Parts: sequence; C-alpha cells; structure tokens
Amino acid sequence: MVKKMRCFPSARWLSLYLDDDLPPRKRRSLEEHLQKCPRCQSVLQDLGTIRQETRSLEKLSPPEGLWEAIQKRLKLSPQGQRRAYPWAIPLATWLRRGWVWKGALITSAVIVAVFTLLRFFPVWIPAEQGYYPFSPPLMAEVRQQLTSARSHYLEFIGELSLLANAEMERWDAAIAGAYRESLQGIDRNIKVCEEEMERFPLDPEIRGYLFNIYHEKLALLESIIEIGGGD
Amino acid sequence: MKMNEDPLPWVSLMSAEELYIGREGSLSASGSLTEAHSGKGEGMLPDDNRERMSQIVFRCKQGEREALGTLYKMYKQRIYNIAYRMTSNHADSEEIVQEVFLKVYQKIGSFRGDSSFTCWIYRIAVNQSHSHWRGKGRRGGNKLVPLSEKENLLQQGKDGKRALFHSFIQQAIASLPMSCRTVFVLHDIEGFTHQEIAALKGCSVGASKSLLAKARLKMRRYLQPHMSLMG
Repeated sequence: MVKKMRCFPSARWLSLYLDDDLPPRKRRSLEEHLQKCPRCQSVLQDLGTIRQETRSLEKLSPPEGLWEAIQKRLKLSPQGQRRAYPWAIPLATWLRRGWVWKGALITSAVIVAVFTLLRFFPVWIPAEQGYYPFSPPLMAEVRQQLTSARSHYLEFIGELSLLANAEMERWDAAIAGAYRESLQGIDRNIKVCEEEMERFPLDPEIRGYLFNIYHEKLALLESIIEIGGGD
Repeated sequence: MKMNEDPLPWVSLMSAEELYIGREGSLSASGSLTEAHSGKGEGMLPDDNRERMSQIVFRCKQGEREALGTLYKMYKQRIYNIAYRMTSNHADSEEIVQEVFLKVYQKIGSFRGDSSFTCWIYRIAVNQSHSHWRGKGRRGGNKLVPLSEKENLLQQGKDGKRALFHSFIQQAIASLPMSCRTVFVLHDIEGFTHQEIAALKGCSVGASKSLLAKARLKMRRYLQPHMSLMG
C-alpha cells in the first residue's frame, strides 16, 4: 500500500522528479499523488516552465576591452613582483581568518584571568608593590593616606584608652579585668593585622579588617567611658 | 590578422567548449549544458586536451600572461554569466571577472591540482561574487522593469512576453537568499551537477539538492503572478 503523501513536504520530491533524480519507489508514489492532487500538478507544471525558461536565459558575454582592463591591473599587481606594501595582503588575509579573533578572545580571557588571580592571590607579588603591578606614584599616595589614617586612629585610641583606664581604676577588679581581657584580645587582633599590613601594605581587605578592629576597640573604649559616666 | 586588431593574438582559437568536450561531446541545442559539466569534469577530458590544460596551467604558474589570456578566453563567458546572475548588475559582473582573473594569476602558484582547475576557478568566481555582494551591502540587482518597457514588451506578442518573463526570472533570482541563489544559478542556469556544486561549495550533495528545491519553490512563489505570460 502506498503511504499517503502530505502535500507540501513533497517540494524536494517535486524538484528531484523534475530532474529525473527521484528513486523509482518515491517516483511511483509521487505520480500517484499527482494524479489526485491538482495543486501539486500545478506546482510541478510551474516549476517545469520556470526551469525551461531559466535554461533558455540569454548567454551574456563580457564587454570588449575587459581583458585590457585586466592586463592594466596585472601591470599594477603582477605575479611575483614586489608590491608597494608587501605586508598588506598577507596581513589582511591573516586578519580575516577566524582563529585570529579566537586567539584575541583567548588572550583577553587569559589576561582577565591573570588579573583576577592577582586580585585574590597577591602572595607572589613583592610586598612593596602589593597586588598593583602598575602606577607606583599613585600607590605611594595611597600609602601615605593610609598611614595618616592609621595614625589618626591610633591617636584617638590612645586618648580614649587613657580615659578608659582611669575609669576602670574605679571599678570592681573582676569587671575591670574582664574588660581588659577583651581589650587585650582586640589588641592581639590588631597586632596580627598590622603584621599582615607590613607584608601587603596596599591590600584593601586587610586594611578593611584592621579598620574594623580599630572601630571595635573604639566602640569598647567608648562604652567603658559611658558606663563610667552613667555611674 | 593584424596584431593590433586582435586583443588576444596569441590565444588559440579553440574555445573552452572545444577544449573541454574535444572529440567526445557537443553542446546541447540550448547550449547550456555541456558534457564537461555533466558530472565528469576533467575526468572526461580526452588525454591530449587534459595535457594541454595542464600545460596552460603550468605556463600560467610560470607567470606567462599569454597563458592567462588563454584561460580568460576559455572561461570568461561562464564566469561573467555566473557573476551577472548572482549580482544582476553588469558593472559588478565586470568587476568580478577582473577580480577572478587577477586572483587566478596571483594564486595559481598555490593551485596544486588536487581538484580540477575548472572547479578551482569557478570556486573563485563564486566566492568573489559572494564577497562582492557582501561588500556592496547586499544591495542592487533587484531592479524592477520600467512600466513603459513592460508595455512595449507586452505589445511585441509572444517574444515580448517571454523577454518580460525572463526579466522577472532575473528579479526572482536576485530575491533568493545567497546560498539558494548560488545553487540555483550553478545548477539550473550553468548546468553544473549536484556533485560538482558540492565539490565547489564544500557542502554535501543532499544539501545542494535541498537548496535547489528551496530555491525553485521560492522562484515559483515569486513568479506565480507572472506565469500567465507563458500561457
């Protein structure tokens, strides 16, 4: 039994049928379909007319004098002779190749990856430079600002510590001892952070930690003073 | 024959068809389909012609412009035809023919003879047409027939109607997508086989057949309102 054919997926079949390129079985099936389907008959007829007319299109010839034009251009760029810019054509060809762009993309990806790694693992960069490999003058400026900010913090902490110590002198020894222990813990953290800062003076993360701990200590000192004042 | 009268005095009077078909084949009545393109390419060449062809290519590789002139005389018409059908523009087609022969002259050193020379040169022509089309911003070509010309043609009876239909065919070709257009031009106008198109375009035979079927249907869709011209 011949499989019932849908109408328009047979476009490829019609084209092959027209070229006598359809296998016998499909050919028979298509011929059966054509007997029943006026639409496909009309398509086939149109395709046949178009093919016939296309084949009989006028054969055009290039105009006279085209060879002379080619010869003129050959003189300007003849085979084997030196061109004005010998690198221009190979360069253009090289740039047109897909892998050049791929290479450029890979290179940029590698550069981005290296900088990202430097951001997170700056250990192998000399301490002097931190993880910033460029612009030393700018880095010097940053360092100066950092040093001055630290000295301000330390100055403020020093003043508050004096007041807090004076306040704790008046307190019960056990309570004051607990507060002192807390302060000592914070001091230990400050020491560790400052050691890290010595190694990586420009690491914003370590700087962030250090300043957070300064704030912590300041807050504790302020609370000690306030508690005292409340009494 | 005076030297200054003939632009190609050195070129043998043997045309491409004679050289290719030699003793074995002849042009069909429409002149569109040659034995050389009926599936065998250079494989069907008589030995002396194949030898002659390789001699011309060898001479061209040595930088002889006369040999290029021979190749020009052999291939100019078909390359011009392909270019015109692809671009629908005479000026562009002339430009493409020039580019193709310049390219042949410059690149023939890299032609190793793995494929047939015919395939190689037509591949250059097709690629050149593609890049020209891309370079022109995919414009041009689809020119409408002026109304006055249309009326004139319609008054000329059957021949006039046919000429008008041919101009519609050219418009329809220009409206095809480039991949379909290439296959359509090579197969239905220039008489290449699907095997040759596959070798030339670097696609499969099945893909070539599918593209042709698609192109034919699109052509039919475009030409359907004008089918009455062909009775």
